[in-house]
Amino acid sequence: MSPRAWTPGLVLLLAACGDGSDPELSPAPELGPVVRERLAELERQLATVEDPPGLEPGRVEEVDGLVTMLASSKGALREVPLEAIREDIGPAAIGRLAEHVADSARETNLRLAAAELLGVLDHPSAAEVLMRQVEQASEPWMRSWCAWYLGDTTQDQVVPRLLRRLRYEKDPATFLWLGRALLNFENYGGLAALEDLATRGEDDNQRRTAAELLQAAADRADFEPSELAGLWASQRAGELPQPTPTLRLRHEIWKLVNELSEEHFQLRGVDDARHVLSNMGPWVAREIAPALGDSDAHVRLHTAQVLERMGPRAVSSGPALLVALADPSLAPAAAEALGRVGHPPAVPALAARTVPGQAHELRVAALRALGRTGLAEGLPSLRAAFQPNTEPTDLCQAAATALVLLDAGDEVAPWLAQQLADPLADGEGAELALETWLWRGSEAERKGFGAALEAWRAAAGPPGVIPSLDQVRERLVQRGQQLNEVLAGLLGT
Amino acid sequence: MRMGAGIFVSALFLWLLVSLLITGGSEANAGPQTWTSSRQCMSCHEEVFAEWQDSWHARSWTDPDVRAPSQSNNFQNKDCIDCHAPRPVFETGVGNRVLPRSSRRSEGVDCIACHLLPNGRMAGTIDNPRAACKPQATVQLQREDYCGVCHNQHKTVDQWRDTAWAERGEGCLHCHMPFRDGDPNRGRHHGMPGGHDLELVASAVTLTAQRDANGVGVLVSNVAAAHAYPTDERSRASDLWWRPLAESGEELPWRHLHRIRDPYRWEVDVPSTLLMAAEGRELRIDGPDAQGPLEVLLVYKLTPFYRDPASGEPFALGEVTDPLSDSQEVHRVRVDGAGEPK
Repeated sequence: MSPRAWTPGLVLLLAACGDGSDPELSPAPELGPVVRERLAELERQLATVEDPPGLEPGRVEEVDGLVTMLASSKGALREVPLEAIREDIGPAAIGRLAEHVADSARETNLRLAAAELLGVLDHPSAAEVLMRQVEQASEPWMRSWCAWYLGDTTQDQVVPRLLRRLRYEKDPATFLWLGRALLNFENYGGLAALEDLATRGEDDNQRRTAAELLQAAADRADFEPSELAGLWASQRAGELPQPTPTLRLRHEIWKLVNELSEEHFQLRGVDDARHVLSNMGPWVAREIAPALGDSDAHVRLHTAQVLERMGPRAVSSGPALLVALADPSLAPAAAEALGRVGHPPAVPALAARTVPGQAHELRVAALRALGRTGLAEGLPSLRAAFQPNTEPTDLCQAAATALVLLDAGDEVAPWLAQQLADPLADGEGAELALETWLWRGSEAERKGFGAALEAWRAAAGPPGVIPSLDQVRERLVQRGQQLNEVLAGLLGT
Repeated sequence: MRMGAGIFVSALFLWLLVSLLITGGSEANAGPQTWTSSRQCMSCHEEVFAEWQDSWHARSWTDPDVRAPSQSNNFQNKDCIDCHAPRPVFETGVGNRVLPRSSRRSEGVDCIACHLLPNGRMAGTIDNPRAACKPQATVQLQREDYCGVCHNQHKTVDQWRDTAWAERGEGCLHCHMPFRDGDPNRGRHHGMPGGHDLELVASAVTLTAQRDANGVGVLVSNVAAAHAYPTDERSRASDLWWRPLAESGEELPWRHLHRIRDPYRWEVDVPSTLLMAAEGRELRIDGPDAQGPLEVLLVYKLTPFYRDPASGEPFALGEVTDPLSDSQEVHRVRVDGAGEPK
C-alpha cells in the first residue's frame, strides 16, 4: 500500500477531531412550487375578466358595412366607422371582424380595414386575433399591418409573442413594425433589428423609417438614438421609460417560465421561452427571480440562464442569485449569471466558490463569472486557482480566460499559447482568450500588439468558409507558432 | 503515559482500518476523488478512450460546423450547450431533457456525461465496486430513451419506435454502437458512427433510375435507417441532382431534382421532406434533355447550404452547378438514352 493510500484514513481521523461544522458556505434555500402557485394566483385574478359578448345576428351586416366604409373612406370620414365600432358595437364585433381578417379570398383593403377596427377595439380577444395574424399570416403585408395595429393598443400581453415572432421573422418590412410595436410597449428587444435596418435596410424608405422609429423612441426616452441599445444592455436600463405590466402580461411571463419545466421535453419551446424572457425589460428580472426557488430543477437552472442572458439589465436579481449559490444543482448556473449581471457584492461569494473543496463544476463557473464581472477584486482568487501543475486543465483555462478579461492576460498568455498546440486541450477556447488579449493590448496601444493582432487575424480562413477539423488544427498550431515568436517582445521580457 | 500510548495505538489502528476499508488495500482501485475530465478514464480504458476521442461525440464542442457563425457562433448561441456539453444524463434523468454544464465543455459528449451516476459510480455493464471507477451494471445505458435525451430532440427515437427494427428490439446500439469486430465478448465500439460515416449513410438508402416512355423515373428509398433519412432536424440535408451526359464527354452542370430535409424552425415556408424509415420516393426527370443518356446523383450534406469553397458565399440551390464541391456522394446511377442498348 502506497503512502497515498493512507491519506483518506488520516483525513477521516483529523476530521473526527474537528468541530463537525458544515463545510457549506450557507444553507441551501427552501424550494417550493413557485411557478404553479404564481400561475394559479394570476389565473384566479384574471378569471374575473369576461369574454366579449356575441354579436346579435342582425348586426352582422352592420359590422360588414363598417368594414366596407373604412376601406373606402379617407380623412375625417374614417372616424365614422372607427367611432361606431368603438362606441356602438364594441367587442361583440370581434368574431365577425376576425372572419374578415382571416379570409384570404377577400379583398386586401377589406381585410386591412377589419384589422384596423380590431386594433381600435383595444380588447384582449381582438389582440389575440391580430397576434395570430402576425404569427401565421403567409402575406408579409398582413403580418406588418397587424403588428402596427397591435402597437397602438394597450394589450401588452402580446409583447412576448411579438418578441418570439421577431426571432423567426424574415421579412425586413415586418421587422420594422414588430420593432415599432415593441417600442410602443416600452420593450427595446427589437432595437438591434431596427438599428440594422436603419443602416443596412433594403432601400432608402426602409432605412429612413427605421431611423425615424429609433428617433421617436429616443425622444420619448429623452436620450439620443445611439444611446438606446447601450442603455438597454446595461444596469441603467431602468432609466428608459418603464411599462406598468398588466396582469395578462405577467400571466404570459409565468406561462413562459412554466415552459422551462422538466415536464416539457422538447428544447424548441424552452429555447423560445429563454429567448423571449431574456429580451424583456428589467421588471421581468424582479418578477421571475423567485423561480430560482422552484422545486423543478429545470425551471431553476433555466431561470438563472435567462437572468444571465439579460445581463446587467437583470442586476436586481443579484441578491436572489446569491442565495441560489447555496443550491448545489443550481450553483454553477447562478454563479455564471452573477458574473453577467454584475452584482458587486457577489465577488466575495464567487471567490469563496473557487477554492479546492468546492464542486469542480461550481469552481469553473465561479472563475468564469469572476472574469465577467470585470471587477479587479476577483484577481487574487483567479491567480490562486491558476495552478497548471496541480489543477484540472479546464479550471486553469477558466481562470486564465478570466484573467484576460481583468487585464491580467500577460500572466497567462504563455500558458494559453501552449494550449493551442495540445490536441487534448481546449484549443478553440484558448484561441478566443488570446485574441481578446491581443485586441485589448492593441486597443490600449501597447507596443507590438497591433501588429501581432493583424498577423493573428491573417491566419484566419476566408470569412464564411467553414474549415475542416484538420484546417482548424493547422490554424491553431500556426497561431501558436506566430505568437511564440513575438511573445517575449509583447510581454517585455 | 501508559494511557497516552494506548490512545496513540488505538488511533493508529483506527487509521489503518479506515484506510484499508476505503482503499481495499489495492492501488488499482484508488480512483480520483472528483471526476473532472474524461482524460481520467484514459489510463484504464485506453481502447475505449481512443475510439471515443475519434468520435463526433468527442467533437460536439469543437466541430467547426457547429461552431460556425451560422450555427452556434462559437457557442454564443447558448441554446446549443444543452446537448453539446450536457450534464451527466443520469443526473438529469433518463427520459428527461438534458441540462448544460459549466466545466470541461471542450470534451463535448464525454465519458462522464454518459457514465457518471449520481452516487459517484460509473454506469457500465458490470458491477465492480473495487475498481477505480466503481462500475455499476446499469441496463438503462443501452435503452433508446437514454440516447433520446439529446437525439429525440430531433424525434429520432420517436421515428424509430414506428419501425420494424423497434418491433425486433434492435435499438440505437445495433447500428451506432456495434460490438467490436462483431464479437460480443469484445464490448461495444465507442466511435458511434452516424451521419459523418459515409459508408453507413450509403448503406441506409438506395437509388435507382429507369427509363420509360416519357423520361426517367428515379426511386430513392430509405431501406436500412431505422429512422428518417436524414434524421437530424436542422442541419442535415440530402439532395438529388441529375445531368445529361454529353457525347463529347464534356461535363455539363448538375440540375437540382429534389431535396430531402427537415427545415430550420424559422423556415416556415419550407416543407419537411424527410424520407421516413422504409419509405420509397419516386421522382421524375422529363423533357427533351432527359431523352439522352444521363446520370443521377444522391449527395449528403452536414449543413443545408451550398457555399463557394473559396469565398464561403452561399448559393441558392438553383445556382449550384457543382454540388460535390460542398457535399459527399452517396450514390450515383447512369441511365442510357432512349433507344440505346442497355
